[in-house]
Amino acid sequence: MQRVSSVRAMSQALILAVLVAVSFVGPTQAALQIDITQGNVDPMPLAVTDFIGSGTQDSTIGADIAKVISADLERSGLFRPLAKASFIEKVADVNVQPRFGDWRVINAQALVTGQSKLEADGRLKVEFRLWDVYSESQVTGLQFFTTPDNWRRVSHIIADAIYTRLTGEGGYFDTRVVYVAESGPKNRRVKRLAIMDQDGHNPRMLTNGADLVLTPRFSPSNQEITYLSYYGNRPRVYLLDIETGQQEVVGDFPGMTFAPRFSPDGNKIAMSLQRGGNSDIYEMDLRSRVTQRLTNTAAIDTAPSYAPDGKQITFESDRGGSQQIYVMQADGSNPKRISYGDGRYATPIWSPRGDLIAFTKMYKGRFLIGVMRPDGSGERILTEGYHNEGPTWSPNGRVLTFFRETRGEQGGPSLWSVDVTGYNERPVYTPTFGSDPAWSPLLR
Amino acid sequence: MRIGLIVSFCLHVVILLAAYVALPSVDPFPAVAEKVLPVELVTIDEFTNLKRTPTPEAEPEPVVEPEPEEEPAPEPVPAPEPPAPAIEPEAAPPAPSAPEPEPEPEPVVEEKKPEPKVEPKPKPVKKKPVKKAKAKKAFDPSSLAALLDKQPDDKVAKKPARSQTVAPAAAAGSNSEMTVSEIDAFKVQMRRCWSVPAGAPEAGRLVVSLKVYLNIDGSLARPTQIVNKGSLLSGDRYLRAATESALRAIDQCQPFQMPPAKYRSWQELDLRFDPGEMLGR
Repeated sequence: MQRVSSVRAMSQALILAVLVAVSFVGPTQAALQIDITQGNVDPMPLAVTDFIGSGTQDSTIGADIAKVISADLERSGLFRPLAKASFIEKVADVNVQPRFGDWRVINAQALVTGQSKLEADGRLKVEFRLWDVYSESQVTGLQFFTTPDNWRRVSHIIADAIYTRLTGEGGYFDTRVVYVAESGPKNRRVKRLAIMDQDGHNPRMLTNGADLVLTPRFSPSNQEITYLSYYGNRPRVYLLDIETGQQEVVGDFPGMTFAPRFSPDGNKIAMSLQRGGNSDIYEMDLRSRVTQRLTNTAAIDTAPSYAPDGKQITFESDRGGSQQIYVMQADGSNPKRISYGDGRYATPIWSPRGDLIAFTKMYKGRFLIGVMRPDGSGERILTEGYHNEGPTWSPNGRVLTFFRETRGEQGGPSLWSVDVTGYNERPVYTPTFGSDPAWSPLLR
Repeated sequence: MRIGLIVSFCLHVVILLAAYVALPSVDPFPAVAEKVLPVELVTIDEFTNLKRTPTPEAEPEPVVEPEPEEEPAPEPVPAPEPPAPAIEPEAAPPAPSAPEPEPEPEPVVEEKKPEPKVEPKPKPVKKKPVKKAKAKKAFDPSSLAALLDKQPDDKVAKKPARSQTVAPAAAAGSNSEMTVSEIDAFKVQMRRCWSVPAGAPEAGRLVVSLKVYLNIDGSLARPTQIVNKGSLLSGDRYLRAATESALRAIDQCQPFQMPPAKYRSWQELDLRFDPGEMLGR
């Protein structure tokens, strides 16, 4: 009996000892901790192979699709499509895993393969796969059916899918840009409303040039544009449905209306109404046609732009003595100045992402385009020059398009784009001079 | 009494078990991060290649400095030096015959047999500047030659330099911790490979923590682990893209150039990719 209890006591003591010992054994030796805070902002090298086609026509379309995707990704400044001549593997079947080693050799971090095929019913079937070369896995893959003449749009949609998967943010390639096409001599410019794909393809005119048009703005929710047109020497805000061509005056105000912009849901328009040297901001509900006055000062309040949540509006005003940027609640209450730098600030535009407000700044006779946070902090200038104006955000809030005017008799405005980081500034091709660009939302 | 003992024992076991399970996952206090930073002491001679010239030169310098222009010719004189070591033994006996140049040998003092070496020098020098023999001799071979003439300099200077610098380096090496400059070298490798998720909103919050296991040749021993997997499951597209960019950077960068002697300290790395500082947010 005594022996049993002593054995029990011993075993208990042993267990206790083991537990105590074990509890003091910490996790394995701590690994070396290193903070990596510096990287590069070089574009990511990736390979886009020609889309495989079954017939000669299919493969021509396949090569064109690959070209459009490459061009889209390259223009974003975040990717560097590798030259096809450097490809070692010739992808023959999109359903077979590529030889990743061959792609690592040429330093491709991602690989795009795909195929296009004309179906018996006349539709074009396009599918693609995006591979991560280092983890040797497919990260995304989609297929589309469309009419053959729609191949360019499908290419943009694929480029958007790749961009979204690799950067985490929404794409902006399947979008259009509306702008004012200018032609004729400098003192007698004909200004027409024009629209094109974001890469400059498929340009077409929306108005005939008989009336002066200015400041077109895209609806964030549908294919509608609001703009300013001089009809009978009186500037009025108009609304144009791109698909039907239907045009109408927004509201019937006694004074002149200008600087219109849609609310994020596309149901309202905020604009300026000028009466006797003083302009204030009004909002009009497009469905009920009810107007509401948002500012009421003796100063010039103009260029309203909604926050993406629709709860606030940023605008420019000279109520403090000089032209500056303000933010107020959507009902006009609690206006607060946010720009405090040197120079004058104009045309604030809230980013669709909500994190920044873009503006045009006039300082020492130069026009700069910059961004700041909605509280006015973190001001950064993205581009500057003799005359830069009219920034417009891409739907993902990553890129700004603006117009830049050159001096001289032969000079004129042309469209440019710049990344929100200030890198990657490049021209946007238009057949004529172009100004006042406005970016559409992603097409649906 | 017995029941009390059992209850007490059980409670202790429970507490110990709980401690064993819970404690390792408790985040350490931030203050613990303070570590001893091993520092490499590097003497400047390694980089400048300048020979240390001992004191005596001080006096002659002001007087002699203008003259050296005529004497670039004699400079080649040190050239015979290289063969000198071979001749040293034979040359040694005449040493007493030329005792005057004694001050000059000092530059070479660190060497074990300085005197013999010096003798060849004085001889040729003597012939030309007979009048100011002492001052010139004192200057030429040591300071000027030391400063301008690379060949002999290398031979003479390198040895002492090495013996001086090796000591601290070896001391650092005996410590198995990576030094600051070795960690910096690793960071430079990562910088080349890591494409920062630029332009994402609030990029400062896109911090990715990875655990990397390395072989002694710097290649990956095991697949890299994502430490903050939990936040990744939230479905944040930006964070997913940022995590993938960090993983790609590691895949692309390996094998890393690491000091094999300190393998124990870097076989496991906790890497924290933080784009905030770079993107200013």
